[in-house]
Amino acid sequence: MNVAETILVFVGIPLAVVVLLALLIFLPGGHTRPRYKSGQPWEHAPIWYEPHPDHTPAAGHGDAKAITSSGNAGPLGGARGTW
Amino acid sequence: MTRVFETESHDTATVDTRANVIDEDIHHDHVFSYQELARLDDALTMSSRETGLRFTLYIGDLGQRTRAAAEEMHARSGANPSEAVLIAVSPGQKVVEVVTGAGASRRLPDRACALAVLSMTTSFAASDLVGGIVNGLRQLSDQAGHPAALRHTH
Repeated sequence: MNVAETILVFVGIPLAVVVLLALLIFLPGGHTRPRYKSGQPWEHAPIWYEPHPDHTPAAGHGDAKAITSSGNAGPLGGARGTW
Repeated sequence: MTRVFETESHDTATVDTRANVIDEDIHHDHVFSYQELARLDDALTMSSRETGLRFTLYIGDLGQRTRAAAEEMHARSGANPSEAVLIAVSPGQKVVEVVTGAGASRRLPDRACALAVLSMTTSFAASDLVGGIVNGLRQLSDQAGHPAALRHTH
């Protein structure tokens, strides 16, 4: 095993492995979603999720905008919390 | 403030269950991953199916008067707001509001809601939005129970 072969085996191969791993780790990093951390401002558009319309109570699905606050929900209950 | 009331409610159904009602801008605004959306969808649908109440979930800004904004949205949350429960989370303001209609509050007393809110805020403070919402929904639906009227239908 001459000098060139030694360098190729003991330097070239580890270097190739390191470069391969680095590529695998950092290449798809362009489109990671920023995760929410408590205390960060919330800059996403407001979203309102409904349950799936099948087998759920009478929903009036899709016409939520047409229903104004005329529906009398009676005295409202609930709770409030901050963190 | 006005932005809240322009929001339309969205169906969380997945691609292989039903055509989705999602705006283009929301489609590009990846708030949650598909796994997280599936968990939210499951939690909302199952708790609504179990209890016969209609659970909806709002995530976004609630303006200055968070309670008033949440109650206004609750009134628009479906054909029968008396049996509806709205969970409104405003991560930017660090506020969560649970609003129950008159019919729903008979089965979900304010004390039970406060307990669910407490468990939600604990998760939210640890930056786990979806986990907190799913656990809160589970607590609320456990508390509301499975009414006898729904039992013989399936």
